[in-house]
Amino acid sequence: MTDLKENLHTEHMLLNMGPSHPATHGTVKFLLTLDGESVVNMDIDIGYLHRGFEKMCESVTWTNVFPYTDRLNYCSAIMNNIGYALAVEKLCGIETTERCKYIRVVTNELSRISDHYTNIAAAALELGALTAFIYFVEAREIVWDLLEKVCGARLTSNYIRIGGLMCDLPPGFDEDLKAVYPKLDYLFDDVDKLLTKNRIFLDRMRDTGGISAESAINWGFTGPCLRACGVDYDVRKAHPYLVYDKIDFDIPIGTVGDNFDRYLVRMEEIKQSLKIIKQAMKDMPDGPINVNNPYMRVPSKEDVYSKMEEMIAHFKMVIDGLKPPVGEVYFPTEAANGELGFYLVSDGTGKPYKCRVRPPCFTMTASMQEICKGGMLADIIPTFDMINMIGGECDR
Amino acid sequence: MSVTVRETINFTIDGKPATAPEGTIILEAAQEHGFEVTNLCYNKKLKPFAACRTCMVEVVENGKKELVYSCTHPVSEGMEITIHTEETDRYNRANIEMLLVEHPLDCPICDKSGVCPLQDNTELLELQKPRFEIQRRNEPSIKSNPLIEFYLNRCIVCGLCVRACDEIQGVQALDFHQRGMKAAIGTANDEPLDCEFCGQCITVCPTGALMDMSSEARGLAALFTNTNTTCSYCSWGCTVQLETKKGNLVRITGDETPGVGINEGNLCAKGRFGHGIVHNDQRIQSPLVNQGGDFKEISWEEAIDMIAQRAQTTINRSGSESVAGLASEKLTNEENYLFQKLFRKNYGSNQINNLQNLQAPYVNDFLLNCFENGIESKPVTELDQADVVLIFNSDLPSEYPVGGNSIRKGAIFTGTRVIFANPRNMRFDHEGRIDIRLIYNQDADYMLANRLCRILIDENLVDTAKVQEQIPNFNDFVASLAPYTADATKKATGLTNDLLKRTAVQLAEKADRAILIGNDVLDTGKGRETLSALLNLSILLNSGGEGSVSIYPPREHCNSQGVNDMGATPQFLPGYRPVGDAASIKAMADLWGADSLNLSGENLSDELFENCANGKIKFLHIAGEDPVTSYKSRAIVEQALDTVPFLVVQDIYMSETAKKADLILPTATFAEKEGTVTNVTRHVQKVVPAVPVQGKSKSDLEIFHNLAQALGEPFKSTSALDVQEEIKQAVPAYNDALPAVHNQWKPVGVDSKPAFQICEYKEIKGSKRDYSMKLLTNNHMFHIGSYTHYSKALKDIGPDCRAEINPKDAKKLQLENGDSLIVESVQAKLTAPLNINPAVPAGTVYIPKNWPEVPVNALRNGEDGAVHVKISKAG
Repeated sequence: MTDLKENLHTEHMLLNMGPSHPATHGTVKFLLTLDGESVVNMDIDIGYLHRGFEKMCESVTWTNVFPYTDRLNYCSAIMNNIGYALAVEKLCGIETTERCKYIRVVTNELSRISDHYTNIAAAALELGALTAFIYFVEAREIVWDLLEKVCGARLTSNYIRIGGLMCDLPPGFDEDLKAVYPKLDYLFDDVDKLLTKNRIFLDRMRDTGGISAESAINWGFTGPCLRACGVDYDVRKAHPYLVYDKIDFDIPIGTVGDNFDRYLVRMEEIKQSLKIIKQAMKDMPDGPINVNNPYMRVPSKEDVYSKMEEMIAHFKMVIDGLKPPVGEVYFPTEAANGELGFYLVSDGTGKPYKCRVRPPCFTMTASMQEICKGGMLADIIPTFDMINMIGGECDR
Repeated sequence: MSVTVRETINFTIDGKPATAPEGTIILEAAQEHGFEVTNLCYNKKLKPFAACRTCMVEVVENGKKELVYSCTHPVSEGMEITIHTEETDRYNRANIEMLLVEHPLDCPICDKSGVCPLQDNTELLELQKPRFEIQRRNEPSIKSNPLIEFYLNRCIVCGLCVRACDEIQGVQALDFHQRGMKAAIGTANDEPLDCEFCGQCITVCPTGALMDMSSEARGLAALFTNTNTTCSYCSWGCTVQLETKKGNLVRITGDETPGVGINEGNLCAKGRFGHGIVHNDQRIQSPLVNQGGDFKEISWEEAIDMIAQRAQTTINRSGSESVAGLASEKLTNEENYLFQKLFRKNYGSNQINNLQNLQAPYVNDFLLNCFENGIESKPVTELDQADVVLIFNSDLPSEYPVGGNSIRKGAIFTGTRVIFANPRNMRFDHEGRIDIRLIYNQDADYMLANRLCRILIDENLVDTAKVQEQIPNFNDFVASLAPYTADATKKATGLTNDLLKRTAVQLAEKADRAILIGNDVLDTGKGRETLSALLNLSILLNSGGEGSVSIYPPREHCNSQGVNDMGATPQFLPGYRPVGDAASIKAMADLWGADSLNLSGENLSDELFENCANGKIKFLHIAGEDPVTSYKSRAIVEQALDTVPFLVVQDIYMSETAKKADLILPTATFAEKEGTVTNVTRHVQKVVPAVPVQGKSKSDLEIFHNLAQALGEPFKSTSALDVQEEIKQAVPAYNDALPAVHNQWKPVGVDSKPAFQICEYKEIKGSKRDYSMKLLTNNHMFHIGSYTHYSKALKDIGPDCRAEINPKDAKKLQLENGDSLIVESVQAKLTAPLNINPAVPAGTVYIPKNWPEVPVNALRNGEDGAVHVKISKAG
């Protein structure tokens, strides 16, 4: 064999994987240098989904940025909304109401669940497990139905507002939730049984795409991928926001940091999120969902159409935008994929002077070349799945 | 600045030390120092009123705390002012809250939304959650006049419109109606508004209670793009704010931001409602060529080539002096500069003139004489601080309505004494304590001015010894005043010597004086004498009196001053360098990169139309003027334009002049072009494009460029800004005025040559037999030039040209309002509907000029001085 290799005239093959490839769920291009099936080198080209998010934000009012944040990580739109809202609220120095915080936690965790469902389902699909995909997509449908009840949209659910929410939870939402728990658990168990101990799945996932904890930190990993390496870091615990400090939940961590650990961490997080939702629904107080000051939030339509003060506040909010004091803030949140941070600069006008996003998957996508180098071509697929690059968020 | 000196007061605002002149009210002082004070009824231009009660501040005066209304309370030495305390905010909030109880929920559809002080103050005080029972009014809007809509549900009874109408405009068309909850504003007996339609009430209204109906596409002010530019009508040079939406001019408003423009946001009917000329189907759509009376569309390339070719052939055949151009008082400085450059450099012809210089070439001499005598024209922004204003033969509400606004403001805040001299007893209401009205006989302007000079000397009201020392020809001047005796003046002007003496005393007191000269003096036939007499009066006051004198020359259109500055005259190169001066010609040639300029040909353009008519001029290029309607003598213009072998007219509309052209080029309106214009007091101001040029039209600047290119020697400077750089070199005085903010240009390198302008005494012509009445013409209150007739809004309020006579004459001839009146001079005859107006003196017919349907310039036909006419009833 060795002789053959030496004697045969071979050369590395350059292969373009993407930007539109059935197994890369995101528009990204890998420029691969292959030695047979081994990856000798890998260049990653991102930016195919660049919309100029940050620049766009500078031309609209603070409130009008929300629809753009929906389209960052579109699998968990509400989490982006919350991250942005919290950053602006920190800038304005406003504290939302207790009920609002609980509702935000509930919707936040529902989004996390749907994100993880999507991620695992897609990963399974790309490894050939269509059934698992269908089961989790069914589960995701149930979650999206719930979110649709809350705010009317399934995917780009623009529910969060600065200083509050678009509306309160619909009546009977707790019952709706309780009604779907068994179904979700059932589907979760099905997928768990189908995948976790599946020989093929294990072979494809275990010991592929691994990264050491040290290296992961150096690359700027956060979220499930970092925790899979055994690093116990979750923004919800490290820098608690909303009411996470009042809720009992665990942070699952992995041991070796390979794709299988990442999968396991996500599976456990789904369970933990459901636990958080149950607690939050139980502890949720009654009360207003919006801050009192109409000049810091979009007033309710009912008030706008009956009270002149609120009408004026609404008009000022729509035309001029809310005017945070001059200053800059950074606010990190734990999104499904890792630390999602907004760095905002206000010059005192109605529009952001700068709206910078720290997308969690950007750094991890960058690490792909190190992770995949020396591995097999086929391992790129599960690794890329577990890194979970979302074009909308990574390219902005 | 007034001669009265105000002390400086020291006080603190929110702990920070501040100063202001004595008598400044707290609110103004706070705004000056950058503090925001809530208020709804305060306007810097108006007297303190305190209607809204939302501007309360806390002051500590002599250790005593007090809550005062900042819009009426003056600052005092050592006063400590605190603007937002918990207590004052509570009071101020409560007052706005009560206004909001009945305010309709109209923000999404209100014209004022976005620039609404009610909204701003509500936001500033962060009002929320109303505490009172809501009681909205629901009355229909009143649209009884064509331009201003009253929607009184939104009225907060701040009184700004009532006060603006009274104090700024002096018209008093609006007042308060009803009481209590029903209180609102309205007209007397709820009759349709019939006023000067200045629209100041719309500007000052803090809500959308008064709205501009002149535009079809109305909407939220917040969604419009605002462009500040300079108005293109009269020569006052107001800054107008063009509100545009998607490339369409929606409406015009005044910008009251301090430091913007020279007009403090004041506008007149023409400036505010005259935007109908911009988007108009009647505009010339494409270059047109005259084919036997029919106009056929041609392309720009063909048109430009045709002009270049015709000019070239004419020059080859008949010499360069047979090519002439008429520059425009309405084009920008840059355009006029390029136009004269085109003629002087590319054609090698000095035959370039403008209408004002053609009719009254002595106005430029007057200006230069002022410079030589050190008589300044202070910026018009300081007119409201003058102590004495002499309004000489100017129907101010029609001629310079915004000038009138400044004078009225001065009357209130500076105590300006107003002297109003006019043959017509025009309305000019103001609050000045001294108001001398000199209603003199027509054409006796120079008698009046000279008599005033003589009284000043005879009565020793000025220091004659000092004047004699300073001005060399004082003795000759005194001798020349001999004919202006009290009796002769009484006979000519109809004014008693006592009244004139009182006037002279007012003028002679220590004061900052302003003399505003109306354009009517140019029509008296003794314009030169009158201007000289007024200059002499200024010299006397300046040298022999205390204080200062500002004199404003008569200039009619938006750039009547600039067109002369740019050298569009046969006498002067740019910057008033004499054409006969070899050094000046050399300087221009160097600047333009020409080897030499040959401008020595026969001067045909002083008598431009005569020389067209007699065939000496064979090519005439008229840029944006309509001499058929606006030149003093219609017949000669018509004859000239019919005779001249090739006539190019550049215009926006198919004017009477354009109809006679061989080639017509469609050009851009003021809202579509870039450049600068120079107003009556030499403020150089910006013209900024707000909308794209309509259709195939091109700006005049572009046309001149294309023409120079077609002639084979393109101009180096391409954009308006480039041309400005060139103008700075050609006209050194413009160095400080450009880039245009609203700086005044000051004469550079003018030698001081003090001298009285001595004119011979001339008898006033007596009337001819049969033609017993005298004719007076001036601009209509709602119209100037010929463009305004295309603006629907202005046609709505000024629909027709009415001849006006005194009730006495009407009675004599048994005429009634609305009768058709035949006015006949030796030259021509015309018919116009009659309006009986006691302001017109007996024995005089007044007819507004520039009306296509009433060609009043045909009656004059070149006759200098008073035109004698006879009137009769038609039919």
